[in-house]
Parts: sequence; structure tokens; C-alpha cells
Amino acid sequence: MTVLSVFESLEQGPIGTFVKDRGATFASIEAVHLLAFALLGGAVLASDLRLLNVVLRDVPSKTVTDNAYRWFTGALIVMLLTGFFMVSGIAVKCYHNFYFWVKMSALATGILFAYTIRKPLLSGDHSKLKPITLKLVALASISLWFIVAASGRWIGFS
Amino acid sequence: MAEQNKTSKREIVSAVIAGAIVLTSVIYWITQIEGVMEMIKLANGG
Repeated sequence: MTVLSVFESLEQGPIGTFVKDRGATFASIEAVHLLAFALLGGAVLASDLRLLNVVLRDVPSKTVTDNAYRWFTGALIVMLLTGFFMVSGIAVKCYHNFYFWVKMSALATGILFAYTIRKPLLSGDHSKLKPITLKLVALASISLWFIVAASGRWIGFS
Repeated sequence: MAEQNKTSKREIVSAVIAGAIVLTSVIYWITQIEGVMEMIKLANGG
């Protein structure tokens, strides 16, 4: 069994057929996907720009990052679910698209980074961390999610 | 003390990984800049 055959069976399966055969289904799922991504992007920007001392300077950074994580997790779950449905409808096209794999790589790295590096680091007292560490973590997070968003849009144009 | 060392090690690892991600992102966008310019031209009807 190859990766391509998995993608082919996904597109030809009941989910792929459901998404493809009904005109408004893909568009509706994509709308929810984009709304979830907007929420995720908002959570990422609010917490990372706070860590970079750009916004919400009068609120402790730990308060911002802790609250943003709840929205981040919720948005990520919705994004992954709707993303799976979207890919099912155009699985073979995605398989052959370079930017789809860029997006998947950045997404996997972003999730790993968020839950294994960023969250454990920021769960403690931020004042005990070096400012350069906080800024690097924020920049890395923004960079990763920007690549996820940009390559996601790029799939549609290539 | 042990806790302090553990935290310090985590911070160093986090900073190194974050730095590597930022560097990789910059390299990625440098290699993609030609494609980005082409997309901007297309978006502007070029």
C-alpha cells in the first residue's frame, strides 16, 4: 500500500464522494476551516505579539498565553477535522501538490512545537526566562503558523 | 538546584529549537521568493 493509494481511496471513499458531489459542501467546510484558522491565528498573534512586547503590554504575558491556549486548542481541533474533510474531496490533487506537503510539514512541526516546547516553557513564571528565549519562541511560532496559512492558500493557486 | 538546572536546560533547548525554526523559515522564504513574486504579479493581473 502506497501513500498515493491511501489518498486515492480517501477521495473515492464515502467522505470524499460526499465532499465532492455536493456543490456547497466543500465551500461550507472551507468556510468553517478558515474561521477556525482565523481564531487560531488570533490566538497565536495575541500571545506571540505579547511575548514580543508589541501588544497588550499592560496584561501579564502569562495571562495572555494561558487564555490564548484554550482558543488555540479548540480552533486547532476544528481546523484538523474540517481540513481532513477538505483533503478527502481533493486528495489526489493534494498528493501531487508541493505546497500541500509544505503545509502538512509546517502543521506537524507547529503542533509539536506548540505542545512540546512552547507550552511547557510558558507554563512557568515568564519573568524567570530570558527575554531572548521568549522572543525566539514567539518568532518561531509566528513563522510556523504563517507558513501553514500561506502554503494553505498557495494550494489553491498551484 | 536540580529543578533550576532542569528549567535552565529546557530553556536552552527551547531557544535552540526556536532559533532553528526561525532560520529554516527564513531560508524557506528566500528559496520561495521567485514564486511569491509570480503570485503577486498574477494577483495584480500581470
